[in-house]
Amino acid sequence: MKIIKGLLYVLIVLLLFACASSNKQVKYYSLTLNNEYPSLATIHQANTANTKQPRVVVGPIHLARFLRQDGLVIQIGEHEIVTANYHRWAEPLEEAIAKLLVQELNSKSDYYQFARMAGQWDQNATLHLRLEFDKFHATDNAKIVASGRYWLHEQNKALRMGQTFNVSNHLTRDGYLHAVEKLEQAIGKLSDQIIASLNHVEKH
Amino acid sequence: MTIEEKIPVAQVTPLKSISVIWLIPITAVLIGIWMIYFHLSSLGPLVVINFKTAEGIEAGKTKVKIRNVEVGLVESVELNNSLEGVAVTARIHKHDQYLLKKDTQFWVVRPRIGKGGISGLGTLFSGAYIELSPGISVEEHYEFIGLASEPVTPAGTPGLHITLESSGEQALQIGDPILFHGIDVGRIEHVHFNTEERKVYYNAFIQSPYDGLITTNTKFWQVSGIEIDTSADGIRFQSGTLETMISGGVTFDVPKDFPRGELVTGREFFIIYPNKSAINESRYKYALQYILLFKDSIRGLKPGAPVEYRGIKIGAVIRTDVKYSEITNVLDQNTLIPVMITVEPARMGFEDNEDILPEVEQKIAALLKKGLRGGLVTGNLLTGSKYIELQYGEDIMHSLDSFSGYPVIPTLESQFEQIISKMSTLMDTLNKLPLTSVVHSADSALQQVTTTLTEFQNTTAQLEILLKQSTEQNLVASIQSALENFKQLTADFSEGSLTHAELQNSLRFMKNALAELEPLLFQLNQKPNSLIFSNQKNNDIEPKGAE
Repeated sequence: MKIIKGLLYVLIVLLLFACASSNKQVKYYSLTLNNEYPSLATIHQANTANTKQPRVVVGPIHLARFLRQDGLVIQIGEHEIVTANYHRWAEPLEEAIAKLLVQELNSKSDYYQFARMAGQWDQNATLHLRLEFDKFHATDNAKIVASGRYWLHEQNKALRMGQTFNVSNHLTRDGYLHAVEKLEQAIGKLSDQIIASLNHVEKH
Repeated sequence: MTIEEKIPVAQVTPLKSISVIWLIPITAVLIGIWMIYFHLSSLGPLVVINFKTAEGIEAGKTKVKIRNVEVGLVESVELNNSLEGVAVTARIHKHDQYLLKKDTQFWVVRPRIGKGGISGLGTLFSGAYIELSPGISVEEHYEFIGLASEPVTPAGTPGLHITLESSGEQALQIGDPILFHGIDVGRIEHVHFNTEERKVYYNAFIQSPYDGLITTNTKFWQVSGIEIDTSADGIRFQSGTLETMISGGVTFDVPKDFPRGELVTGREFFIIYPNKSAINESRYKYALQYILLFKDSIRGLKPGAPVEYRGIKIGAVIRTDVKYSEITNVLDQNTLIPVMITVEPARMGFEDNEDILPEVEQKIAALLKKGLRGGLVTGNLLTGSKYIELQYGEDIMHSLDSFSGYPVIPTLESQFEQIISKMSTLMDTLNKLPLTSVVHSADSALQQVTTTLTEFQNTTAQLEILLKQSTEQNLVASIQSALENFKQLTADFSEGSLTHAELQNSLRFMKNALAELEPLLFQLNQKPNSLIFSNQKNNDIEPKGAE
């Protein structure tokens, strides 16, 4: 009898072990952690010194339907999209792109003053930069792609120009962390293209 | 020997018996005689029928029939001696000889279109024939007067023959129907106009079993087409059957308040009344006659109009003309128009006999002294028909006792004159009223009322302004208070406020919680048992770096 009881205990313990599972950790990623914000004093100084700078409002930024969620995306083949469950954006992607892009643009242009769109159409802005992202993800062939279109509007919503962008970077390491780094760099390249477009518009 | 001696001499011996050969002609003669006798004995009798005309009748062709069975053949057609008709000789079959009685009738059947419809169409192809209607008499007869057309009632039909008398303007024709409650129960058979009496007598036949409806109290009246009567009683519309609408007819019944009477079995005389109401008009024999003299127009009053007392008919108007010896000039404004009426004592509860008349006359004379008067009353506003109403009144128009030998009933003013009199009295009363002073007083009062109303209007306007101001002030204060409250409310929820921050924190917490749950939900969706059985293979696909 004692032997049977002992066997039952062993069986229950084994069952509990069988149910045990390792806890999968969710990882969050942000595009803006590496960028440093200017101090309030610097901003104030810049604002007073450059009150006549053309003001460019960045937004709204429109993402493709599959990018409008928290999971990071990887493209498998030509048409398959897989969303990661344990690798997620720490904040809404359009918000992060807007922050990063404004930072990049402000850091690269002394002539324009860039700001994120606050709710409605800014009537005081000289120009409005409207963006649309079709791709902003990694692929299974060791690349990241960021592509889409952007438009420059005047204060009265009249279109000044429209442009497409298509930025891709090769991945040299495995993992989403490296892909996020490459996507951040892609925003930097996009900001270069936008500055060039603004200069072109300014000239004409 | 001579030649003469040699020739033998024949001895002639006379025959003593008749030859057998004679039997043949004798037999033939006997057979012939027998045939003639047989033929003559089988022939029917010859009858002579006198017709007005021989139209359609041909000797040797025209047949004599009864119910379409041939009973004879016309042998000759000749004009009679007076040239007023034709004598048609026809031989009737021997075995039909019994049909030839004294009241047997003959008529020629030809195509005929009449009120009763179309008949004799078959003779269009077969030719006219003589129809025989057998009689019921026992006496044999061989000379007849042919009828012009088919008899209305065949001889021997059970029923009752009556004679109707009419002095009306509308005449009836042979064959016109006699109706009882709309049912055709008989026909007019014969029409005779008596020139001396200026009346028409009709021989009519009521067929059995309807002859049992004819009693001594039965009344006959004409039904002819559509009858519209616009009397003082109103407009009365009456119509008969379609046949009577076209050709006229007679109907009969026993009046409701009459006893049924004794059954009529033999030929009786009955009067045909022009309509049903005329029966009631002339049902009483004895009446008193009076004259009413009117100053007003008697337009609308016709002979036959009722004389009433409190709505009860007690007589009728019989004359409205002016052919009296007392009237010399109708156009004289003082001439009164006489109207002769009858008063029937039987309608007032007295007996209908001659002895009661003096007593009734005395009673009426006594009532006239108490104020009984006659007046013209409009009975029907639509047609303007009038009647005489006896009533008690005080206005005596005249005081004559008799007129042209008839007692006079004094008259009252007509309704119109009474209205005029009342209107005149009313106008006099109105004239006597102090209207001028009343109007002045009313005018003054109205002016005062106008002033008061103007003041009241001003006061109302001022009050309205005050109320408006008060309302506006209250409204503005209320709006300001509401706006302040709303401002406070929005401040509580505005950005930077404690409430806003708490809301933001709550929303953010919920969002994070949902984000944390999303992988788990995804995992459960993919593999529901993954909570118990871990799946090491369910890892995300991660990007690979280039080698």
